[in-house]
Parts: sequence; structure tokens; C-alpha cells
Amino acid sequence: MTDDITTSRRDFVKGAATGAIGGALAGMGFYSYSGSAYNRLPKVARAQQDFGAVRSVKVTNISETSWFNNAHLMEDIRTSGGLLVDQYTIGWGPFGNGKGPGKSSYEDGIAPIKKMIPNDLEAAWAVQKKSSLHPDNPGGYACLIEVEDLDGSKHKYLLDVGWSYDWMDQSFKREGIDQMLRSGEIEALFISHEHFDHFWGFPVAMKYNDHLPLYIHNGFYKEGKQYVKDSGYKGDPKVVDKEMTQVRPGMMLIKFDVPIICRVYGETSLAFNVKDKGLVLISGCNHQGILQMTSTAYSKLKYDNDRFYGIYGGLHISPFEDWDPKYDDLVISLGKWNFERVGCNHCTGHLTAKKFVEVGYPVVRGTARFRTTSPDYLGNGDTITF
Amino acid sequence: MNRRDFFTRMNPFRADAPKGGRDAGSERERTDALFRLAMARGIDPATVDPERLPELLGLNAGTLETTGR
Repeated sequence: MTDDITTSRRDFVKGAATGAIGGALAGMGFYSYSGSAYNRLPKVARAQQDFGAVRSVKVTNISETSWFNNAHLMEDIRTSGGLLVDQYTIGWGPFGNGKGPGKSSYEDGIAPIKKMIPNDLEAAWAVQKKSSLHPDNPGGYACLIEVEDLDGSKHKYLLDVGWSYDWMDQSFKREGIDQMLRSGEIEALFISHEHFDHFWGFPVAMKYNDHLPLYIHNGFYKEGKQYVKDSGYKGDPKVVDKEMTQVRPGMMLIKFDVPIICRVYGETSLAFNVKDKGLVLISGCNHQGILQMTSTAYSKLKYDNDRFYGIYGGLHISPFEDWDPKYDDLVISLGKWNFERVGCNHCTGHLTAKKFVEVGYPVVRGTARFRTTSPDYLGNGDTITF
Repeated sequence: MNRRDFFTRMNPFRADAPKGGRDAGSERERTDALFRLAMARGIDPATVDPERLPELLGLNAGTLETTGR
């Protein structure tokens, strides 16, 4: 006996509709995960500026230890009001006033030391240590950049001036920066941003050269601009107000406008086109984020081999040596640029440097001297040449 | 392409999406406000992929209004 299998018109229509809708959804799913879907995305427009080339760039890490105790630094920020607090009110040297966290001011701090800077820094710092929070915590960030032009001539620049007068003066002397400033060998000083650990050691540089060319971001607050004057600077600061400022052939200063913790605005970083190698990026802290740093350089600069060759400085991923899964996004994202040499330190964090190594990035190790706590990355006194 | 990339592409406010008439000034103001909101909530925005920041802050895409979660 055979069963007659019949299909009503309604069942047929239902089946056809289900099949069509299901097929369409499946097709869209397959399509959106396929490579061809990417072709519809807008391409990143590249208006690459040809800014010349250099033969090499050597970086000497004068100091990357901005502070020596993370817990103390975070405690001071927290008790002063959190990440939006004005850095000049926290009560750190040289702007402490002895009234407690979050109750200080630029005016209170500078008043007792104004006549001492920049020529009697030891006395000034001693005065401030009596009225500042965790007075032995400050260190600082600064590096020396030596650029070799294509014709073999060499040019020296200073990126940042650290924080503690005592620590930075020792560090400058250790690397011979004091003599280079005094002799005029250092052609300019770039302050990456207004943060305490990159800028508040400014009088130390002024002690040795109070008129060297100075570049600051146009987002500096009035206190920062006043500090430049109060530190005895005799020159005319170049206030960077354009996204791209060419310093010399093959050397570009890039300005990023971004709010930064502890009431700072904006950071400038440096980019170099090293002949036959590619792009080298050097930063103080990278508060703009490594994604913005790399994507800006990619879209706006022309460099040899169209290749990212090296990176140096603070990459700001785990500056306080904590770890959060969201940091993994940044670690992974750096991989697409295929840097050949990664000279990270400072606010990159030791944890991040270890993660970089785990995922195979070519991190250049250091020697763990002069209070840098491990060889995970380039420490105080270490050098790297790109 | 992983799932996160897929959803990121679906986000009309992603960085590489057409700006649809927004000028650079208002975009900058929006980013500044977003970063300051992150800091007010104890997040250092430099340590976050900017595309993920609204999601982390529980904001509706492209606005500074919370999703109500």
C-alpha cells in the first residue's frame, strides 16, 4: 500500500518562504564574514606627506622610572579626587604646600622656591620635600635622541625633563646631558606633555641652558606656561599648534589633541623616516593611545618601504602594573604593524612588555640598572639605535 | 574576521565610518567629553581601544547618553 503524499498550497508557500528567509539570513551571515565584505568598507585615505629621511636614530634612556612606588602614586591621585584632578593641586613636589592631598596649588608651591630655581635646585627640592606628598616617590622620564642625517651630520635633541630635581640632575650627569646642554650640543627640547613626570623637572634643564629652543603643546595650561617662565627660561617657546611640524628632514613632530588624566591636554610625539628601514615612532607617554599614534602616522606620513620599523617610549598600556582584559586589545592591535624593534618602557608597563614577548613582538631587553627594576624592557641608561 | 570585528563593523560610529556631516570640531568635542567621562569613572582612556570606550561606559552608540543598563 502506498501513502499518497500531498502538499497543500499553504504548506508549499510556508516552506518556500521559510527556505527563502533562512537562506537569505545564512547568505548574509556568510557574506559578512567573508573577505569580499571588506571590499565594501571605506578605505583609509592616505595623504602621505614626504618629509625626507635620516640615516639613523639613536635613543638613550636618561630615565624611564617616573615614580618608584605605584601604590603611593595611585593613593595620592585617589585621595586628591581621582583621575580628573588638577595635577598642580595634588600636593606633589615641587608644588606641595603641606595642607594635604588635593589642597595644593601652583602658586602655593612655587612661592617658597621661586628664587632658588634654576640655580639652587638642591635647596629648592629640599624645601619642597618638607611639604609634599610621598617626597621620595618622584623620578622622571627623559631621553636623548641623536639623529644622523643622510650626509652623516649628527643632531641631538632632548625629549622631556622628568620630575624630581634631585633624580633628574643625577640622571643628566650620569649620561652627560648637563655638559651637552651647557655646550649647546642639544639643539632643542621637546616636552611631550604637561604631566608631572615629564615636565616638572624643567628647571634642571634650565640650570644648564636657559635659552635652548623649546617645543610645547598648545594645550598647556596657564600654570605650565608660568612654570616655564618661573624656571628662568629666556627663550621664546615654540607653541605647537599644527598637527604636523617638520623639525628637520626625516623628523616630524606630531600633535595629538586629547584630554589626559590629572587635567592635562594634548601630547606631541616624534616620527622619523629611517632610510631603507622605515618609520620610527618615539613618544613620551602615548596618551593619545597607540592606535591613534600608529593610524595617524600610517595615514599622514610617507616612509621608506611603507613599513613601520621601530617604536620607542611609553606606550601607556599598563602604567600602574595592573592588568585588565581590555589591555589585551591594545597588545594584539600593535601586532598588525609588524614593528621590527620595540623599545618600550615607562608607562608601557613591565606586564605589557612580558605580554609583548609572549605574542612574539621583538622587544629589546634592557640591563635593569639605575633603579629600573627588571630587564623586561629598556631601562635607565640603556640605548637603542634604529 | 572574529565576532568582535563583525560587531565593530556594524557600528556606524566606528572611526573609519563615513562621518555623515559631522565636522571635525564637533567630533573633537565629543571625543573630549567621552574621554573625560571615562576619567570621571576611573578609566584611563589611553588604555582603551577608543572604539570600545562607549560600550565600556554603557553609552548608546554615538551619544553620551547611557543605555539605561
